[in-house]
Amino acid sequence: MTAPIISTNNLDLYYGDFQALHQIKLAFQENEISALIGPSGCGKSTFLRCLNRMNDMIDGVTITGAVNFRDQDIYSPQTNLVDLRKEIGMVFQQPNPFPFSVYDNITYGLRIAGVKDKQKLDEIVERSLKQAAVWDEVKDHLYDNALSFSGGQQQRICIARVLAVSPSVILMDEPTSALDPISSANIENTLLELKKDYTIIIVTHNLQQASRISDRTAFFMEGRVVEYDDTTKMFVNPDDKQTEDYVSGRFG
Amino acid sequence: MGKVFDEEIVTLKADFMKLGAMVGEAITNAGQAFIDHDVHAAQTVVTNDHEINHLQIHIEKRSFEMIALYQPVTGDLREVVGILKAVTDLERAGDHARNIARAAISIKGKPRIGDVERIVATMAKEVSEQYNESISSYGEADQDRAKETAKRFDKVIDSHYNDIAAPSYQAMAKDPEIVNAAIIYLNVAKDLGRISDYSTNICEWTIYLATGKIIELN
Repeated sequence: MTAPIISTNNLDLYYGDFQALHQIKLAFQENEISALIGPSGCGKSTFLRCLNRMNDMIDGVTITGAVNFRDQDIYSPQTNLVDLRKEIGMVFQQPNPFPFSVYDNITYGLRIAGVKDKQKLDEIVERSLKQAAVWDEVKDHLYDNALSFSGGQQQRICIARVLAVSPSVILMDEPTSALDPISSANIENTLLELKKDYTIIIVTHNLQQASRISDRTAFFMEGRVVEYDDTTKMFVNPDDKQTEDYVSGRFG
Repeated sequence: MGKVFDEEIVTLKADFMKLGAMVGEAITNAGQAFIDHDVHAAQTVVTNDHEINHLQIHIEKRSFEMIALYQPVTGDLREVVGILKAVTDLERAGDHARNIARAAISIKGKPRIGDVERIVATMAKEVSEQYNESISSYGEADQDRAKETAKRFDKVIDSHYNDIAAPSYQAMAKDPEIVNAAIIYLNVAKDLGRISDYSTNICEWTIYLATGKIIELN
């Protein structure tokens, strides 16, 4: 097995006195989709946010242990957060396009990074929207407000916005839970295409989604990883009884 | 259902049809080896049976995994379940072909009854044809062809069995030297009869695949 693109070691996280994550040790392979599953409050979203330091903004959070991205500890003082989040992008549960045009949404990160060349921006807009499988639907409306599109289209625009800055890893926190089944299927198919070029880590409450699209699945409970293995094994014959009960819908 | 399932079901069905072809070849070759008294060809059928079993297990395992991972419904479910059920029929038909190949090996050098062997040859040819028609109808999910195939061969195969059994018993009563060969003819006729039954099962799974109905043909 090749070296993981992103891995954690002995990761503990506290919200004040409350320990939300216990000794998380997980490694994610390049060009794979990894799913994080578990009951509400199990720590999966908290863990996901550790991977690009989104928890830094929350008061009272203490993190110990290591998160390594390409052998670099992202919590080291040398880490530049803007660079980090360009490499490790995030898509949230609710589609959250900025309230301006599709074109400006996609180019937002690039303009901040100082890209001004119109031709280059045009190319990236087209490429990103195509990769996010929403180009055909928005290509004639690039200057319409992004909020005027459907939820599923907005979410794919948000994915395109992340792709525009060419990240290596895309974190997704329940990206389809606010969408109807058809839009969800579109996003799932998009992710399956994207994994050829990106590494995807997805938090999902939808177990069928995890089983359909992910290569590996980690099952979290009470802030700990109970089991992490190939998705097929996790859904056919997991080692742990708790995993079996959870994926069979017996609790959670 | 997503892209991955659609791709996987194509692969699963291709594997199933491949197994179907391997078993079809085993049936034809075993029958031919028995008629030609060809021990070498018979041995090849026996050896290849391991590959059939191996592929059958792979298909079953993948079917279970696909049900667990994708929870298919309607036509997708029928595709997976149809294969999961019919694959057992294929494997068993393959076992009977192997039995016939073994019979071809054990009858070598024993006194034989030419008239009975000619009926065995006809029966083997027809069973082989019935099997191939059944597997093709499954491949095309063609319920009309499945029904027609089951109907066409039903009585014919039974009557061949009787045509082999009666002279075999008579020969045994007359000549103790022929007992060994006669028992082998009876066993081979029984094996061919079972292959015919499994072919009918495959036709039944074709109808399930096409319509969702589980019916008993013949």
